[in-house]
Amino acid sequence: MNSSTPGKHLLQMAAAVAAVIALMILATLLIDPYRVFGITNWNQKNFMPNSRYLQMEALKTKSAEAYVIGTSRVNYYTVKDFQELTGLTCYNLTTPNGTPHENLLELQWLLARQKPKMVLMGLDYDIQFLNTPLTESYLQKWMHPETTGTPLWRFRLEYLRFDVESTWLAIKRNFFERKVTYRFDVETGHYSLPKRDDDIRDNWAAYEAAQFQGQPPEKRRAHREHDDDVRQIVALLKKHGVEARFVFTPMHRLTLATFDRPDYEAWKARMREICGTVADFSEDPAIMNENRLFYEPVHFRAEAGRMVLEKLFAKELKAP
Amino acid sequence: MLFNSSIFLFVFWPVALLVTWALSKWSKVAAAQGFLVLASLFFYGWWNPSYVVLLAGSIVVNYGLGCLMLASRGGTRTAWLALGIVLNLGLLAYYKYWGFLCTNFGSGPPMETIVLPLAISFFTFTQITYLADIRSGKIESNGFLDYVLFVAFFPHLIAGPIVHHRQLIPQFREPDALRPTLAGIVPGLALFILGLSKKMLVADLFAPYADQVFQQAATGSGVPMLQAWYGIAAYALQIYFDFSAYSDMALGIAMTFQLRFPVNFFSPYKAASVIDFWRRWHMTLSQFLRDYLYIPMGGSRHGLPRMLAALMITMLIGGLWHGANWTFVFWGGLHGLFLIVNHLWLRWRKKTGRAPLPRPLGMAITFVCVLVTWVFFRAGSFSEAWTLLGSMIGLGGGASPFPIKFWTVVLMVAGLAMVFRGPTTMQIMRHTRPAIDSIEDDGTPPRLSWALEPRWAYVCGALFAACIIRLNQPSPFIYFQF
Repeated sequence: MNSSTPGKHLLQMAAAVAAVIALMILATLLIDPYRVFGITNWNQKNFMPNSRYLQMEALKTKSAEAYVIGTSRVNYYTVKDFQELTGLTCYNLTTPNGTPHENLLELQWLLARQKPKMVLMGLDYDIQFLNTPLTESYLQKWMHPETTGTPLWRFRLEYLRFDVESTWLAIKRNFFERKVTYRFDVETGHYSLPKRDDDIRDNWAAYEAAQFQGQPPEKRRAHREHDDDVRQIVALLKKHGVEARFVFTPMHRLTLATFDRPDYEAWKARMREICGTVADFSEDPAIMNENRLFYEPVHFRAEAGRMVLEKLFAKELKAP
Repeated sequence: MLFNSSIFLFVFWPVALLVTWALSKWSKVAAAQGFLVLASLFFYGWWNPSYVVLLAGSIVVNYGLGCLMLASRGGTRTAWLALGIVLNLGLLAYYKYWGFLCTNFGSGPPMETIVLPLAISFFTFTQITYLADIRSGKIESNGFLDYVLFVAFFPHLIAGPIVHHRQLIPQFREPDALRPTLAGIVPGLALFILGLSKKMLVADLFAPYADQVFQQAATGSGVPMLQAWYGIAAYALQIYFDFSAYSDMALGIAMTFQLRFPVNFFSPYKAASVIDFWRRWHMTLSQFLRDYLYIPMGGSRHGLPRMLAALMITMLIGGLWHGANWTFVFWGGLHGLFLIVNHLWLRWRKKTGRAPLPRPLGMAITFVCVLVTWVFFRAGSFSEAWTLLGSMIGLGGGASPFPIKFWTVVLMVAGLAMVFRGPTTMQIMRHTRPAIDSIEDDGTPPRLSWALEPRWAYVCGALFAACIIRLNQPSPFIYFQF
């Protein structure tokens, strides 16, 4: 029983496609779990927004005298400790799973707008393993379009795709989970893990047994493709007259055990050659063997970060 | 190029349709045919351009052999056929089975050094049947363009249906063929969208649960019985929705070019016996195996023992056709065994005058048999398969690494209801003549029969929009690996 012509049917179909997509776009703009549209900012906990984007947006209106750059590990060189130990206002540009290339792009964007006095960069051997494009959760980690030169419409278009799973996850975690497992603070650039801190405080033995299980036995080797990005970071900071501090970040002994030792030593030597002085905390016995200073074998905690900063700025502390 | 990718949906297919329409309107149909050959090679080359040479070479050599066979008689013709079979199987053996052969029967380069060309099993077997039919005098002549388009036509090239030359080449000569019209495009698009939705909105939902269970089994540790059954049922639904979706899409695309392919799926899980299952699952492969393996081996013409042997050999080869792994051979062997039992049961019933099993019982037994065979089809190794089978009979331990959640149970129930109670897309589209074969009326209510009505435009439009939104995560079809 036909009640239409093929042409009319096709138009009706196209209208239905357009209507559903328009509804989805509206919903996406309003729900915005990654907080890139900024119309609603209800996602405040337990679901990672696009923190790289939010950091850059924040730095459009605020500035600092010092910046901490690097992977998720540098999150634990806290702004508070940094300011207390150096007297410089600070912003933390931690980039979870970030590569030196991302750090370079963010610095280029930043130094075109601001003139900080100091940049502290954490160098991680194991981030060098990352040479594949981000797939899962890439919307949480896509860089600010102004840092990469991606057209704004292209960036926004990607976030207009309605992702049912992520949206539901964000809603569930914000409104149906009481404990706070993750929170991002756009004012400092830091993320925090309150539930983990509570678990550590309340039942350390159980936490330790669950988290420090050992690492995969294979010996992993780094890719060399990031060396040039570090070299460019050094040159960029020098060009802008910014004091650069480099540290090999603290590693847990279980993580160290997964490294290919000769390759790791060679990487360190290359970094020293590129960066000049690099303060080495990667095998500090006071940190690497102390489980309490780590969340798990990959990430050290703020206490360890404070120890690093204290040692790093000891000279300044001792100065009259 | 995947059917469920933006480049195919919004560029390749519309451009192919538009150019075909323009060429057939303002030029000769042969021009449209030539364009579709180039488009199909481009479609194939999108995955790996270097293998276009392989496909094109295979087509040219087989066509040439076909011409030589047509020009010869008797023993010479048979010799050319033998050469054709050796060349085709040699190509297949090198690319698909070399690693398998070396691992099991000798030495050679490791398997990973040879990249399996997409669709090699499909286009090789299609061409062997062509040569075999020339040998038996069923083909008198064919134009080169007809032949190339028959083998390479992009909707069926990668994962079937396995189209027979007798089914497709004569269509090229029909007056409407390759002259796209809105009247053909609209139902074709509707069928495509129903298939796309089956793939993107249904099949892909089951994949994570099946993957979880098989990955756990691959580590050597079992899973609780319920999880094991849940996981294998999830895989059964995933592969059905995935592969039947591809077939629907292929048929839908062909319809937009005013061509028809054979039906490939017809509610296989509604089968009340394993014999019935193979008349409903991957029907074009079943027909191919029947016509070119089972019947030439004697079929049922030489007594029971020979028939059962032919059946088993056919299914073993059918298993090997799917992949170079003993688990596929075993899968085929299991189906062969079930078919043998099924045939013996039928004979015994006939002899004793017993009534058939109640249909629901037959369906349940068949489904369980098929689930058991899927374990070997999906597992990467026998140890993985045995671990999962052990779990299915309660030997997997009580630990629950991934508890079944409420909504996943809802999903499973909905999926099973669709395959056991719902109409197939072929039945939904029955009035539009979606395939070469006529589709039997199984009493599908009129409200579930597609028609040129606004409600179907809105349903298909909404489904298409839902698929578009998920296009950023396209997943390949399971049958691409074969």
